[in-house]
Amino acid sequence: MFLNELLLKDFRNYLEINFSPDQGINIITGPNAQGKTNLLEAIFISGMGFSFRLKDKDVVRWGSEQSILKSSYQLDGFTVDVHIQVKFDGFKKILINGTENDRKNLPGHYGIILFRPEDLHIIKGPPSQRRDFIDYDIGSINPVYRKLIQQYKRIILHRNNLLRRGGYRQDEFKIWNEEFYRYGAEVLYRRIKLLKNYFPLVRDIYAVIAGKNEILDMKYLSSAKISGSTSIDQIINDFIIEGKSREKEEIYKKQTLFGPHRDDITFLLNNKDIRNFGSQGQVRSVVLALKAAQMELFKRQSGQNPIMLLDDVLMELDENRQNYLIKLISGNNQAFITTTEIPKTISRHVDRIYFINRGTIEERGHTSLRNVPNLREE
Amino acid sequence: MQYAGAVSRLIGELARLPGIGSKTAQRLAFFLLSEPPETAEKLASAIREARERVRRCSVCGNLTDLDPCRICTDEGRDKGIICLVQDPRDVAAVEKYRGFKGVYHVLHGVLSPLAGIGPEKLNIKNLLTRLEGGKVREVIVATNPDVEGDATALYLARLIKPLGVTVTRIAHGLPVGAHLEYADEITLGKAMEGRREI
Repeated sequence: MFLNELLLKDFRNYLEINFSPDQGINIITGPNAQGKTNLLEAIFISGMGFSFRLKDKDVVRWGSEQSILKSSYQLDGFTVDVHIQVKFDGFKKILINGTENDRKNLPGHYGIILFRPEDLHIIKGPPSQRRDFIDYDIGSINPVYRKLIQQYKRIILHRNNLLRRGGYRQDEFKIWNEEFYRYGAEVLYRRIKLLKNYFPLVRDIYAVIAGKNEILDMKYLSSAKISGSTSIDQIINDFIIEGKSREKEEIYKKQTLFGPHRDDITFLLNNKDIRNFGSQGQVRSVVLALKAAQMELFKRQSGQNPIMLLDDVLMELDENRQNYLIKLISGNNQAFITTTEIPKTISRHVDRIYFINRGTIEERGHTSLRNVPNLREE
Repeated sequence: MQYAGAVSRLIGELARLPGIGSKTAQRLAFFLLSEPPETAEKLASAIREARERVRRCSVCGNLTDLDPCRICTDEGRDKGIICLVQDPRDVAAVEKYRGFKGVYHVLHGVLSPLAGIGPEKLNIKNLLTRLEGGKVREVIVATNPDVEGDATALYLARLIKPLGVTVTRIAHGLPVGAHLEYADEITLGKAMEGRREI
């Protein structure tokens, strides 16, 4: 999948720009606070329909009524035109090939992968960050899974509400229990299946990045005792047993105490928990492996090469890791990389360089590479 | 903006209606005030009359100006089949299809602990009274296919089945006239699960 063209109007600090990137590696450079990340955000929204920053309505340029994002993707040899309007009150309208459509049908779901410094939280943050990464980033390729997560979370909300208020009828509670077990088991079953495809890819990629002496292992930690995950019915039975043994505690604490919404994943490096024992560099390498494996998984499942958005992560990696990442991408992927400096290691793989300054965008050919060090003086 | 007391009260009351925001409420209010007085009076009396005369049918719970309602007293309808819906709008929706010759039962909501709705707030007691006679053969549960609608369907099935009544759930799947290529994966999955031999 490729982004061929992007037109922005009143988007963040951009008044109006027209951007026609290369199908290979596009470097977006320029001094700080000039709009580099804003451009990545625009690409992300045009493909996914929502922002990776806090509120969608914040993208409307100060004082404007609305932002317009027009983009043109190439998917399997077909052109997909996307037109997105974001009103200042957050209202969004999405047109795909000229007709109004839902954001879940946007081309980005075939694979837009975002990699940014905050991704370290996948390892270092609370369990919810790891679950969200699995459910929304890795699981996003499967619409059935996405919908399932949404339904499951709603059931948990209902069940927690019953527990909080108390005074419910037993027959009513039983129904929400049954829904909780049924949906929870299906989420867990599908999640484990997903991870069985994903974990080995992460492990292999990590071995390439870090060498054979470091063995990465990932373990799924279930909040319920699970005898196995070969079938949904088996998990339902385990949940029924768990539910009975924890019923009193749940009533006392007034919330649902087990289920896939309370599970976690640990990352072990040579059998030691990386959160406690890993160096900053090791954590970065694991995150890099997670993203590279995500790319590989998307490629296998959708047959499309995902678009990579790398926001300020290049300079955080050492030369070896920069090399690995660039080699991985430069095969068939289109990539957008924001950076204040272009490391020498990657300059020969770069296809196009864009210079961003105060909301304007200017293409600089390959030859202008030598100008780049001047950036810092501006 | 501030308006004379009566005007802002009218706008306020209109804005309480579903689907009406403050802008639309203003438009409606000024329309009513700029038209001849009869327009507003007709509307007011229509609202008053409807509110006074329309009530819930004591049998099925649907909104009606006759009790029992026209559907419940219709001799041509099969009282042995009850279609269970969540609100009166759904009766109108199923009626449009014209092929259904049974009767209805309106729940006036679905189970939703989040909204504080438990079984005691739904029109279930009347349903059980109707089923007691033993004349009802089948209950078709036609609540919406979402989390709350499904939970409600499951709850009612548990309640009704022991009475010896067949409980069915309406099928979920592709709308008629829809093209397969435009169907989303979830709907398509449901349609596959519910396939039939031809």
